[in-house]
Amino acid sequence: MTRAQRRLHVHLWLVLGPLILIGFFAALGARPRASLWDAFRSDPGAAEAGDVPFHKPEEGGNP
Amino acid sequence: MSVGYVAIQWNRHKRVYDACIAGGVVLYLSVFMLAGKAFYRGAHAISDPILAMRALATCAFLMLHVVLCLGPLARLDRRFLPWLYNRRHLGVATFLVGFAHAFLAIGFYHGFGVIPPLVSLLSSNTNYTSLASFPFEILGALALGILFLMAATSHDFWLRNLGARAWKRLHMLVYVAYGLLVMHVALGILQAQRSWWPAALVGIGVATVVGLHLVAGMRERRHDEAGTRRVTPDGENWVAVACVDDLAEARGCTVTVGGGERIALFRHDGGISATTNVCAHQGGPLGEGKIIDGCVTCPWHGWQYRPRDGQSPPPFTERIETYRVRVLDGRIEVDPRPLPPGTPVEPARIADRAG
Ligand code: HEM
Ligand code: FES
Repeated sequence: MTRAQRRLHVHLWLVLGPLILIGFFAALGARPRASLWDAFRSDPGAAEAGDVPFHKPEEGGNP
Repeated sequence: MSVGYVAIQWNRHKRVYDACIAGGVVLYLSVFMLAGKAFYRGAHAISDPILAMRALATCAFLMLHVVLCLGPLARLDRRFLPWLYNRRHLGVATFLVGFAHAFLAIGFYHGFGVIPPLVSLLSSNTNYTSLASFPFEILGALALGILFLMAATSHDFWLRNLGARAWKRLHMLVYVAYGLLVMHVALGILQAQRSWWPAALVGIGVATVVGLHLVAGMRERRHDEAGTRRVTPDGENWVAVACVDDLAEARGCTVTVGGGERIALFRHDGGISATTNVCAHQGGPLGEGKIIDGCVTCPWHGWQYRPRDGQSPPPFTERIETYRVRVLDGRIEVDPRPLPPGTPVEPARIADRAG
């Protein structure tokens, strides 16, 4: 690579690297404590408990 | 003007390389599917299409990490060079595996309604202002578009057609694709995961890619700057850059003079030649290559140049810059002004070392 290309590469990563890391951590920070889907997957019976509005398959019909 | 198309020149190394890629992908997908089935059972069972979609997704993401890390790794340690040789094949394979994942995802999540799947993909979620429910699939689609563009232009035909500069710029979009995919994963599947390890794995991947690029980049920079300080030009513009004894027969080395481009020196047949360090193909470091069949051979993809005039042996027509060189008392001196590409320069005889 030419000197200019090497410099471009380093500068690109100096900008892009922190940007990706900030985006990644911001996305992790925005995670809902417990998603509906997660609650359903870890305990399908929770739908009956009230706060997860899923129907169990055997109830028939779809919400 | 037109550019002639030459089909891929297959050789044994390329076949072995491609067989390794195909074998690795099949092995990864099988292990992922079997482990997924064994791990998620009963009420937690995951359907086959979703498991396959995840297997393909994580495989493509892992392959992209390897593609991105190979560049800096090869600069830090020569043992990675053989993997750089056909990195493009790995890139095309990454696109294909990513495409299979996208195909399944669109078919499964957007294929059962009355709205055409692609319209559904683009219109079903417009929460662009929310991080937690961001339309992460669009980010995957944008990245896939970039990977497609790169796979479609990966052949040397396009390198010549577009010119090395435009081609290199186009292919640097892979870094943007990588950023988009990290966000595709962080705003997608990681939002629905409560366990810490998937996020930790992605975090380690990002840190490795970014870290390796920065470490390799800084090392190259130090190399350039160290060269800058070593300049001792005399009135005639000859600069002492190395000792004959530092160079083994049929090997090269790289020197930097006064903030200019790197110069590659080669010892061959009792003489020393100097050419630019920048390969005409994709800028590979010629000084880190060897002399094979009397030609300087680029360590990246094997393009060759005659050391005495910087021209590729027939039928090839590439030319690189050469430099005037002389040997005095065992010291190699170069005139750091490059000569036009393809200019013949008589190698400095090592026997001249007595003076
Ligand atoms: C049109 C393009 C794409 C679409 C529509 C798409 C869609 C999706 C969807 C719906 C998921 C969540 C799957 C789930 O719930 O399990 C997902 C996850 C993921 N995607 Fe994509 N994707 C696309 C492109 C890509 C590409 C090109 C890559 C990588 C090269 C990629 C890598 C991933 C990864 C690593 C995950 C997380 C894996 C997992 O689910 O366990 N995607 N994608
Ligand atoms: S950079 Fe490809 S052969 Fe030199």
